[in-house]
Amino acid sequence: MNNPLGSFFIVLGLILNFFGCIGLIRFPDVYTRLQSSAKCVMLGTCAILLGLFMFKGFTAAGIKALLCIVFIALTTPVSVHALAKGAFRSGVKPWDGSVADEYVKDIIKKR
Amino acid sequence: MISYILTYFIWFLVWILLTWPPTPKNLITGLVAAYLVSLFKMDIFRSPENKSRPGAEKNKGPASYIKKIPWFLYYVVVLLYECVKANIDVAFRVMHPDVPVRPGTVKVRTGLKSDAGLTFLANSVTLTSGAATVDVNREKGCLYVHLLYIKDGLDASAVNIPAINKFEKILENIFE
Repeated sequence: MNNPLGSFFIVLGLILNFFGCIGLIRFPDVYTRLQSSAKCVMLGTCAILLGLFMFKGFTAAGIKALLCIVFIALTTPVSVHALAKGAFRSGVKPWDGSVADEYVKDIIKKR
Repeated sequence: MISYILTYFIWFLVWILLTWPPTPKNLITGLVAAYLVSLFKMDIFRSPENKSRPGAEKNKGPASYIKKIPWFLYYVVVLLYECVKANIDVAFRVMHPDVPVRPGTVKVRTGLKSDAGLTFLANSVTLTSGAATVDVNREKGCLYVHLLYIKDGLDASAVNIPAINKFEKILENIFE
């Protein structure tokens, strides 16, 4: 562990992933849980990969870690969007404490 | 033609990065592979309107792409900043003993029309500001967004979120 910046990013990523997993348990319904996993886990995984790049430098593994950051940043929102839309379409009810329900009112009810 | 050359070089660059130590063997394989891929995807940098009009490509020279690069870098910086802000927000809500969430889906108006612009807007909304895009309605020009915390007295059918407006302004310069 002679690379303080790389270690810092890996620890930061682990903390963010931890928050994401706690959110997965504590949040009330599918949609809020998706949000916590989208944001925290995405940034946490990117931070871990950045830390890996700082350890490895411009070698085969380091460059692949950088490419994975781009790939994860592009695909996480798409998969979250697909899961949320699929849950709404297959009739998963939002939590009772939900305040507004524009999507159900506009799209689901009219089908 | 410009679109074809650009596609070729981007795929070649990705290939070099994937097979990092750039030995002659890797480079020659990359030349062939990038050629094959760009044969299939050579129209990737043309918008749908330009595909139907063959002459429209002429007035979109490489200068228009170069002008967009600073805007794109600015977009990445803003995205990172908003992403960190959203992470702190979610972490606060997760660790708070009462879990202060008031979730719900709301409608957000948008002025963007192009495919790429809407995709980038929806994706950046998902990564930031306690919101996740559920669906896009292009005819009405609105996004259905799932919010983590809806403030009291917010009109759910036309919500104004400052972070989304900021992204919209930047993406207008890049994709429209």
